[in-house]
Amino acid sequence: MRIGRGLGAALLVPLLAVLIGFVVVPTIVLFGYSLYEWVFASPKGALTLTNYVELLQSPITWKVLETTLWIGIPVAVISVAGGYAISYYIVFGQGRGRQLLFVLTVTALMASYLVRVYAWRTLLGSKGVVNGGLEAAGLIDQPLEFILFSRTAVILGEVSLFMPLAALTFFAALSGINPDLREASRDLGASRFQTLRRVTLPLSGPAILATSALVFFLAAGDYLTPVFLGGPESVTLGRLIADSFGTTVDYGKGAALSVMVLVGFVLVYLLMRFVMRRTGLLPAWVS
Amino acid sequence: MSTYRALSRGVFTRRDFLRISAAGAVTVAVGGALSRSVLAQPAPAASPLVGCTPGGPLNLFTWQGYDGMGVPSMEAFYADNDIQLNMTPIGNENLLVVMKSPGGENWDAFSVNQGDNGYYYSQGVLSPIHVDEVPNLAKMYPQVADNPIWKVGDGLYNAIPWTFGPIGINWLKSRIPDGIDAYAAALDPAYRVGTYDSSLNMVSTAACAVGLDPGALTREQLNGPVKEWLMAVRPQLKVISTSLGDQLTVLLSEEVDFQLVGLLWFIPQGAAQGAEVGFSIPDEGSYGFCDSLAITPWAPNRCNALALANAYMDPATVGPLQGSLFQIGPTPEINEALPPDVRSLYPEDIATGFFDKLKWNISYNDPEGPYATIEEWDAVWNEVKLAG
Repeated sequence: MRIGRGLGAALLVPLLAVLIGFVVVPTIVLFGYSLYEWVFASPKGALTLTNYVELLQSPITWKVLETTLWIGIPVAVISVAGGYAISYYIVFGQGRGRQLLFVLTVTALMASYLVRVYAWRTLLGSKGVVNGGLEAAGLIDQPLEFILFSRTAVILGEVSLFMPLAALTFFAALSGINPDLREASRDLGASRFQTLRRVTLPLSGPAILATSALVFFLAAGDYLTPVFLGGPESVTLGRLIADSFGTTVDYGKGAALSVMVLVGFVLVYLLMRFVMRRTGLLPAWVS
Repeated sequence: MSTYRALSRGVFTRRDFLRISAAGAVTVAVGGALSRSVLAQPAPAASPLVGCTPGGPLNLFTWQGYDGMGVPSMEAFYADNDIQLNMTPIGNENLLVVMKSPGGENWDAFSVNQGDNGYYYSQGVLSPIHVDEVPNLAKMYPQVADNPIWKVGDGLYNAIPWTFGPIGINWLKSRIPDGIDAYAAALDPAYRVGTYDSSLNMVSTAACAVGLDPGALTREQLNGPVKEWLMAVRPQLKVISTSLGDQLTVLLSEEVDFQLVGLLWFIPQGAAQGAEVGFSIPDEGSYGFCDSLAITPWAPNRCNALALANAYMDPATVGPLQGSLFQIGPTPEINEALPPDVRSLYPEDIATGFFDKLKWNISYNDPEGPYATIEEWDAVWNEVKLAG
């Protein structure tokens, strides 16, 4: 059925309303906040870029950015690779394990976010399951302290949160690939790896880009996981923004940081798209 | 055949979508940009000193347990005065954000820490209270009655300083039977240390540890010995909790050996979970905290807030509440009404042993003033956290 302009516009109105009301307007208000200095939760003085200048000049900002990338990038890479592998097996694999894996993937997403994060404390704590098991097996004498309240724990926690999400996203994309294409590739003499590299991956390229961006944004912006599982060195941009709005009540700084993070995410998305196009993983027509 | 086909011309394209949404966004943006402040700015109302009869709602924003629900004497107070309490517990949010947000004009009273009394009063969110309205204010220890943190005039106070406690160190008695009695223990690499994520408390802790007064900390002192001490503690800091509850959880699960920014309150909380928690005021000295009952200038039910203020200053009513919190009051009569097991935790002479001995931190906000501002404290604490 062909959708004309009028019907198309009408169908888009609800989404437009939500996007404008809950995304565009708050972003503009946030940008407005960032252009003032705030005292006692009220804007003071004229428009100014002081907040941006101070943030860019502060070594704390760059240090927190470094920490955020050290967490966000590994989480995105592991979650996307792992999620792709899971969904690849579910879609193209053989045997009953596929169904079980699918159920487990969906089930992982059903539990509350906070409960799942807290569960890692039970697993990784000094008296947790992992340390207890290793001590019982005689592999260690003292609990491994670094596996909780550390950057490692934050990465583990976030991968457990986002890999199932990535897997389901890829499941939808891979399910839409015509199996005849892969069969034709094999019939023409391509190996399994060549078929993956030259047929399957490019066809799922848009999903890889979207999922990678989504997971990176979620991981880099996460606040609760670094708070509950991270140590003192796990302060991320999300936490800095939360502190600005909640603790120090410096709305200007918090808003400026939020805008800078938003711009940063756009740049990261563009970079990902560029890299994927250059490596042939993304068709030219994908925006 | 691939299911991915390019969109054909003639249908609703991305350019059309962007054009329409941009027009809508510009329209809304103009309206948004015209508004300079989104937060509600309730206007302070006049608050004459007049007699009144309590009864009706009381909207209170305070710490869990401070309302006194579950304490028979406090419940009797609410019932006898026909006050319907609407209490919201303070979480991790900044009090200021809540008070100045839409809906803040409904709050009659809230809890304010001594570090913020002066600044909040100067910004007009605390209404002064006269001793004629709360007569027992006249019975306070001199160290409290004459302290400019609370006293703003002759017989006039910016809030009711009704509950006090010391900040110290907590540990699990089963893990460290001999206890921890000095801040210097945090410098020992053998220990795993936990603390509360608060620049106000950590800088105050460091100031006390190096013999300085957190209520009068200069920039040189902050960036000198205080920061040096914090950096020396940093390698031992394993967990920085963002809530008091998490501090207790981390301590009871033995993820840390002891907690800085400790409270006597952890003792009953730990006992409730079957654990014996110890508390000490370190040898180097420490600082205290005072949570005051502040009445907003725009309180719709000021009379009920004043009734609560009087209850907080009445020994028979507040004594059991103080006991449940393991905290003390500002008058000798209130402290004589404390349960014996709680009273025994404090010095026999509270005036000299507590109020004279402990220091009080203050959040300064004047960047031109002689003392480091709370923003400067935040910067140092963030730098410490990110080190290593």
